[in-house]
Amino acid sequence: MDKIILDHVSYLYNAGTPFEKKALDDVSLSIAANRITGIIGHTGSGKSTMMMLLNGLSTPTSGEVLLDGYDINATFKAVFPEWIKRPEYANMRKSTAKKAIKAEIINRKKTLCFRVGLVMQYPEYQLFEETVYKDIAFGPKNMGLSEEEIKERVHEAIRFSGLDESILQKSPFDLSGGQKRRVAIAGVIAMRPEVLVLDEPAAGLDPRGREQIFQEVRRYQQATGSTVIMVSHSMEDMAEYCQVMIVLSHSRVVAQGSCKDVFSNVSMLEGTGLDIPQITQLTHLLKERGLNIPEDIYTVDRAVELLKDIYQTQKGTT
Amino acid sequence: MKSIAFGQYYPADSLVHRIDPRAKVILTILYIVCTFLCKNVLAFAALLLSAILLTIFSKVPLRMILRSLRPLIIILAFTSLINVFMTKGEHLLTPNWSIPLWGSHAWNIRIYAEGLWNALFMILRIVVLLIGTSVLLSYTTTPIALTDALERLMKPLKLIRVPVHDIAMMTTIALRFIPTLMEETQRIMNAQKARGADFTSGGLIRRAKSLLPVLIPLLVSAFNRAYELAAAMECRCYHGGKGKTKMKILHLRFGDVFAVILIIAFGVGIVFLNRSGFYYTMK
Amino acid sequence: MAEPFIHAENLAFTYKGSGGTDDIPALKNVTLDIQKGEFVAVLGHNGSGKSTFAKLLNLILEPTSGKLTVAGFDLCNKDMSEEDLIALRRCVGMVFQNPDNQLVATIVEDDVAFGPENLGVPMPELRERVENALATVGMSEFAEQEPHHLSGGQKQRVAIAGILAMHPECLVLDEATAMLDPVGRKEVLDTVRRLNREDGMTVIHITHYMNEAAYADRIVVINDGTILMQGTPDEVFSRRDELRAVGLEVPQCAELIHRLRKIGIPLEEGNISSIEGCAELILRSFKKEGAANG
Repeated sequence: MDKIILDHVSYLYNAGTPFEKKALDDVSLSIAANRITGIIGHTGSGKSTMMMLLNGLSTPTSGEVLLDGYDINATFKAVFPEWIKRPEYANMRKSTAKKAIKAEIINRKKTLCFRVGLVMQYPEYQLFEETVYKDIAFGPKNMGLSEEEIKERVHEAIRFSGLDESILQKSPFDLSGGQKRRVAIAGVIAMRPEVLVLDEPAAGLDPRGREQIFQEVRRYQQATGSTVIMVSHSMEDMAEYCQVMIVLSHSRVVAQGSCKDVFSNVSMLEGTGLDIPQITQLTHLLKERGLNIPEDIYTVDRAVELLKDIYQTQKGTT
Repeated sequence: MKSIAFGQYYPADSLVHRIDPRAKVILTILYIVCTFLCKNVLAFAALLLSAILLTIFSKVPLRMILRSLRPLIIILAFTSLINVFMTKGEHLLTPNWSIPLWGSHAWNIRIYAEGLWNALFMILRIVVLLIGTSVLLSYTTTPIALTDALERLMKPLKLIRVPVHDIAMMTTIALRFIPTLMEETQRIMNAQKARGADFTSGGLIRRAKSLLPVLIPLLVSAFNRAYELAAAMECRCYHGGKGKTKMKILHLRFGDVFAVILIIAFGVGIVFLNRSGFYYTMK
Repeated sequence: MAEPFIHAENLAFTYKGSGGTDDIPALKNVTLDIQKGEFVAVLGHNGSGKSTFAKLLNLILEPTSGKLTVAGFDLCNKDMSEEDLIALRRCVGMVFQNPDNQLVATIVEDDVAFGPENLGVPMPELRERVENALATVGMSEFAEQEPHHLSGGQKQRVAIAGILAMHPECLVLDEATAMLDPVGRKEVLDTVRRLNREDGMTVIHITHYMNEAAYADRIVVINDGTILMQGTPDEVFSRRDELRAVGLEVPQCAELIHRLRKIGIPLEEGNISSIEGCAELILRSFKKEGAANG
């Protein structure tokens, strides 16, 4: 099942001015539901632009962004002939139906950011409330939920973050960098988005902080079965935590598929200006030097497993 | 990355661009004086001609200059209306129109030729003033060159303990950080919009309140930046203006001096034109 | 051996609590010598005290107790003259984490000139220094650009040029690569490695990226305000379990070697901090096994 489809999407900055710049060039891709998808690309490859298109903060210059098959930027004109046939509108008077359809389009646009939760780069900069509780509650409050519901969501979100509940009464400005980041992500998780999009969620954190962030995301994904999209330039992290990968380079998609598929073509990845995981580089080198080892290795676990097999067969062959 | 157009500087290589920024500041002041010296038709014609020549020499597109005049239209309309209706003179143009107001009061409309001239002069004066200052300064001088020029021109004020260097340093830093903070504002706004914040609906108070989620993080970040910048400046041995040298030393060239002489001559010329008494002279 | 460039003995620093909050000891008992021309990586997780150590080196922070001498200056002397302080800061240049918060001017070359201007370097030497510094970091063609049009890596290189123009003896990178992408990190690292190799610049690189520490002559691991271990990258990376315990990860290759040894594959000691070295170790062991059996 595809949750999100980008259909021939292009995006131009400063269109029509001398500063015009193509950020996305005829990009078509699909993002599977209930999976963690990693979008990898170097700075300026268009990945951050793409994230803003997913929750409607920006609109593509051309092409469509479909969420559950619905073009999130659809105009009244485009949907009217289709929707008027639906049972809920078919029985209305035409003028009433028109009004209702217009209202639904507006409502969909408004609620889009709650369905597609976006965590921007360095999200700790968005914290502003006196307490962590209030800050996490900001999103749910904007959704118009009841106090009761908000409370439940805040507590749920803080559990996903792995932080102690006592932190809820502290000021977000008193926390450490990694804690702030986890609180900021909890603030988006509390809206229970069907799609959680994270831009470079672990940037600048140390290994422990990085792991805690990825675990928060993974816990949320597993508990809710939502779709997660992570954007990063670290192939090492993405290989570790994602099930599906999309590689962007110079505003275009150059590879998509399972991690195995993507890493089986190392020579292609070398041209994208990305850091190839050390372990992949190592196994590549071993193969070059005559060791019979597959090329699509991207985690230490798999490398250990394969090398163990090779070692044992070598030991066994007498 | 979105490029943020900052200030009004129009990069080009023109005669006006090349004038020393200090000379340009002096020229601008003198030019403002000239616009106020003008009194009669000939003088204003000369003034208008000078503004046109200046624009041509600066290579700044006329379209850009006209765009900057747009916000002034209301002020121009208002001042000219006042001039038209309120100036009393000798050449009455209208019959005795009268609009009854409350009670026995009435408003007698009298438009004199002098009023029309005054309105025209007023418009010309404001327009030329704006074209002159923007072409001489904002369009052709980078903000940093301007700060530098002001620091040097204000140097004598040091004697009366005005911290000229500090003011200049602060201005430079402000100019440096405006694009950074603008980008940051955009980023925080997007982040809060992603959490469902609404900055556009509601009344004035509600809208102001809805900006808090943007202003607080912006303020926190600005303070952090200030703190880090201060440390970075200390690391680079900043200790005020004492003993500081400058890489870019401004040299007044013949052309700069010539431009100043030219504008003084222009001012003198205007005074003579005023005295010619041609057609109508403003009071 | 000559006098070390940096000599720290029982060095400690405590952040004074304000308004009822407790004092926070950030650095507790650090004894360390760094020689001239060395490339030292200081590793540690966030809050380990590594950044505090960097800030003590040119008196952004003042040591609370212990001894610290840098380039012949006694940094614990509370009555250091302003001339000495400026001389120290000229000598020990520092590049910070956020590239946006250390550039002062609106034009690249003006920014690079800021340091030497403050030092009172006269023209035309000043111009020469700026041009040389920009050439060293490979940013000459951007001399007249505005900093906010540059990438993170480029801004950081401009910041390094700004330090180089002061002709320092030591470059301290205080997590200067943390906010950069892989390309930017490589740009900055290549630049400082070249400075170290070719000009003998002493480099102290504070980071939490193990991969970056692999290039250093020596790694110092700081945890909880004290030195946990130090040694060559090979030595440090071989103590994988201890590093893990304090929240640090060794590079993937060193991790692989560790795990292979654990499951009983005999691997010799060797150069585990480079991919090349690891490949060699594995091949040697496998070939030996193959030869013994074949």
